[in-house]
Amino acid sequence: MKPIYLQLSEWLETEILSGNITAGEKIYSQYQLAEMFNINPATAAKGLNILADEKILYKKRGLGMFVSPEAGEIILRKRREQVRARLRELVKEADLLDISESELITMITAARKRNKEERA
Amino acid sequence: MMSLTETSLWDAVKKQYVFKLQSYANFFVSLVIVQLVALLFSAGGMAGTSGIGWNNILVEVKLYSGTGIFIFTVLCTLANSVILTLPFYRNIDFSFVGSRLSGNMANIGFLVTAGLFGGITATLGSILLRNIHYYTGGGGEILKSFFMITPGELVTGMAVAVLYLILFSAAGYFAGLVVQLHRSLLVLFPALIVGLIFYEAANEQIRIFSRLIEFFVFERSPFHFSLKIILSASLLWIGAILLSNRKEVR
Amino acid sequence: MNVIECRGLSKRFGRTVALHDLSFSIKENTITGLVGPNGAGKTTLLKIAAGFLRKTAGEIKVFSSPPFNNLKVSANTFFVDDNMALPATLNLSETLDAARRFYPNWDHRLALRLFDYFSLNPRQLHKNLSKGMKSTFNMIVGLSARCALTIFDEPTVGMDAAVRKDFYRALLQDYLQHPRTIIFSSHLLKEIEDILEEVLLLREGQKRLHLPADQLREYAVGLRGEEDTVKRFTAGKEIYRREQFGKNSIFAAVRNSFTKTELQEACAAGLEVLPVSAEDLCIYLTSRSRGGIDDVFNRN
Repeated sequence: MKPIYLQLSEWLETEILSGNITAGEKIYSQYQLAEMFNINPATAAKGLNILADEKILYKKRGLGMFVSPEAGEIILRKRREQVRARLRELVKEADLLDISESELITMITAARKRNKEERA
Repeated sequence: MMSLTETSLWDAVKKQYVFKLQSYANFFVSLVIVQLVALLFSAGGMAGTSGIGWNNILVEVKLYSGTGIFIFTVLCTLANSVILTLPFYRNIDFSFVGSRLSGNMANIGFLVTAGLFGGITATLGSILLRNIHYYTGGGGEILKSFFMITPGELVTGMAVAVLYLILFSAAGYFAGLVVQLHRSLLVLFPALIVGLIFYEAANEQIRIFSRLIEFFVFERSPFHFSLKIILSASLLWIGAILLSNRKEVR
Repeated sequence: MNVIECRGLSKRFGRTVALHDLSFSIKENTITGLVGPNGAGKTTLLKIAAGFLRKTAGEIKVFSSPPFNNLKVSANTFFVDDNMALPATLNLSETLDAARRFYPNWDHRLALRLFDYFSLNPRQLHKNLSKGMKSTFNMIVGLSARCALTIFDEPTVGMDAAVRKDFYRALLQDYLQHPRTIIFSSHLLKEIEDILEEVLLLREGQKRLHLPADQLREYAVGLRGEEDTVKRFTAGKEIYRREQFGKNSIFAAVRNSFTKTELQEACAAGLEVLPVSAEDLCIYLTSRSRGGIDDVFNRN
């Protein structure tokens, strides 16, 4: 089970990626997040601090936290790394099951196609 | 940080006292009901009927007095003071702001108020009793010289009644707390009191209760009488406070 | 600043030891969950903190003062439990009015709104309320009093799931608007863990764990798989719980001090890596046997 503050920071990343919160904009305070997610504000602060440590957010003294200009870029980089890691796991599993590379690629293409159809 | 509130002892006592007056209004109601019952009993003139036979003439003296009402008031006051010491009632003091001292002081305040109320109503009740007899029983048979009382006598009567009730409630309150020191005292303490009374009745040398009665009842000076009662009640209250100050609650 | 500080606190009732050498402190403006099995000493600890019970040994300070029979502590502490004694003669609305006079920070608007929301009848007598309704009423008084230290000892007794949920939400909302120190003892850790900042876990009168609530979920990890493999990976670690699983496999919960690579290796070796919920962790850490209730049935 993922800790709540990680769930929270991921949710904030997604909000930034999808453009709901843009660079330079003030992000929710720990109290707003606590109310939104029904969690303790200290936990919410932890989620925000993770993003601040990764330079996705920056602190303005007395004003709160803001989305840094390079936030989108950092998140993308991070998420790509996550995809790569998960892919490695997947490939490991595929190797175990003797799935060939071309077969794996066909599977990926099929999955993409299905997702696209579902979205349409 | 939520700022800490400062409460003085006096403040807490006042709040608890008002809370008790509001919560235990039924004590006053029960007191009045008991007094009314006593009034009904006394209306028959039960107290001290005596006949004297003398040369074929029978003189019957019927004593109509407020003593019955007063005794009932005392019993009710004693009961109420003991009730206040029961764990449930003591715990109420700790549902909201209070210390053992403030709770005791508020209880004392409440019992003094109840004593004032009881003493005044009991005195008025006995006056009512006289009037009932005067108008129903034929006033002619009543010794008129003792019938009319001056306002001064009325106030004195009330004051005496109030002081006695305060003393009794202090004794009841103290006894209630003593009995709760240990389970065995619940039986031992009343047994001791009753035993002593019987022992004293059987034995001429022992004079504990008669001395007590002499001490309080046969005092002629109003000032000394008041002083004796107030000091005795205070001692009982201090005893009660000391008994409960280290007690665990809830 | 610490609102409560304990050092070597002990409490005995006759020959029974209720608390033993307890040391911890509770920071100002935090919500702390006090958990532990029945008889762990939760209520005793809270009643000592509220000034109702006397300590036997050690030290406890609440608002920097010894709490027993202390008017200052009483004025700034509200203690809610399911046997709050209230005069049998007052109805609910009169009781609210009475409580209001004792607390300068009392929020009467909040009290009335909560009263309405939970559809309490102002004319009803407290003693006639059902268990759940009584708890609801006590909770309303406890929240509205806005005391710097608010203690809830098993406040949800008899409340149904919906009311409990509303209560947790109300507690959090009011805490966000008016931060204060709240201690909450409960058996239902799963329901409250998200709103807690800290968790203090007691076992047999002693502190077992005191840490930020969000670390509880990562504190332990469960490994399930072939017995020898599990043993290899958990060697040298304290095992909190061990359960037989099928013929040759076991489940073992241990302190999560694994590195990421170690966990990956465990996966590669065919083990399942399972999260241990906060609630399960607390049960494991306070149970008398490592095997749990199954030990009773597996004695052959």
